[in-house]
Amino acid sequence: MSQREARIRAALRTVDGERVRWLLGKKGALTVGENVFGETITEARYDFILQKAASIELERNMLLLEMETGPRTVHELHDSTGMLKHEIVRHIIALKRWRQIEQTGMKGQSPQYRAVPGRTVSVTEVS
Amino acid sequence: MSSEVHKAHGAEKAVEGDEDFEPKIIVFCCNWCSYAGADLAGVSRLQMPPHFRVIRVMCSARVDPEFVLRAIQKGADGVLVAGCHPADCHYIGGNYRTRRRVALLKMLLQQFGYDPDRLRLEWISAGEGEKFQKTMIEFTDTVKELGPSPMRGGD
Repeated sequence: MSQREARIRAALRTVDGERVRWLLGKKGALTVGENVFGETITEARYDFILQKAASIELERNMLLLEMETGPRTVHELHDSTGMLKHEIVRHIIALKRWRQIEQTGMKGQSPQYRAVPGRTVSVTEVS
Repeated sequence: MSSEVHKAHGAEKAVEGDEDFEPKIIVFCCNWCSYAGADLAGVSRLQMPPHFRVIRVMCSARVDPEFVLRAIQKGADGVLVAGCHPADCHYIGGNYRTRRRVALLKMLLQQFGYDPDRLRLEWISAGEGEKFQKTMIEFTDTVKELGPSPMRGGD
């Protein structure tokens, strides 16, 4: 699978994911109505939140796709996706918390992670 | 000398290749406005580039982001989503949803190295055959300038 193909697949998962779909559907309620604290989110703020959420989801889905093919270390993920290592670590922490991935062993001094089979791909953590 | 001729010939071929590039454009039209606009453009015999395929949907909001990404995945060079003008939607607020989705999709496309101009949203009503023609000419020119989709070996 080429890098471009992988990115499109990750984007497909992103737009299909719970987090992005929820945010897209709630625009009216968030920007026109008030939340329980009586606050209203501005359109600009909403756009920022949505873009940030979609961007994070896209990156996580790219990592998940890679880890579905086999156990990967952070270095390997960096080589295949081109993402920054500290960003990858941040995503791995979140994905582990949501049990989307698990540690399978060590490669040298680096832990290897793989996607947990049968788990949904949607990442619902709000960063 | 012959190598220079070959080089010149090759360059000419490349230019010819660019000129010969026939983009594949997918146009999603809503049933109530844009499809009728496209139909009007057709029956009015307005000249348009023949590089697009129209897909009729009941509302522009029916265009799931997945449809656009799948089209790109399958090699479409450009995708146009046409819907009713704001506040004219047959289903009250479908086109507002579409606007949100297209904005998100443009951002995603940009993030994975795809020119966001390959995706366009346009409001075309049933009486705007000329607008449909103008939009199609403009969009085809834009896509031609951008070249083939990266999924088809372009930049």
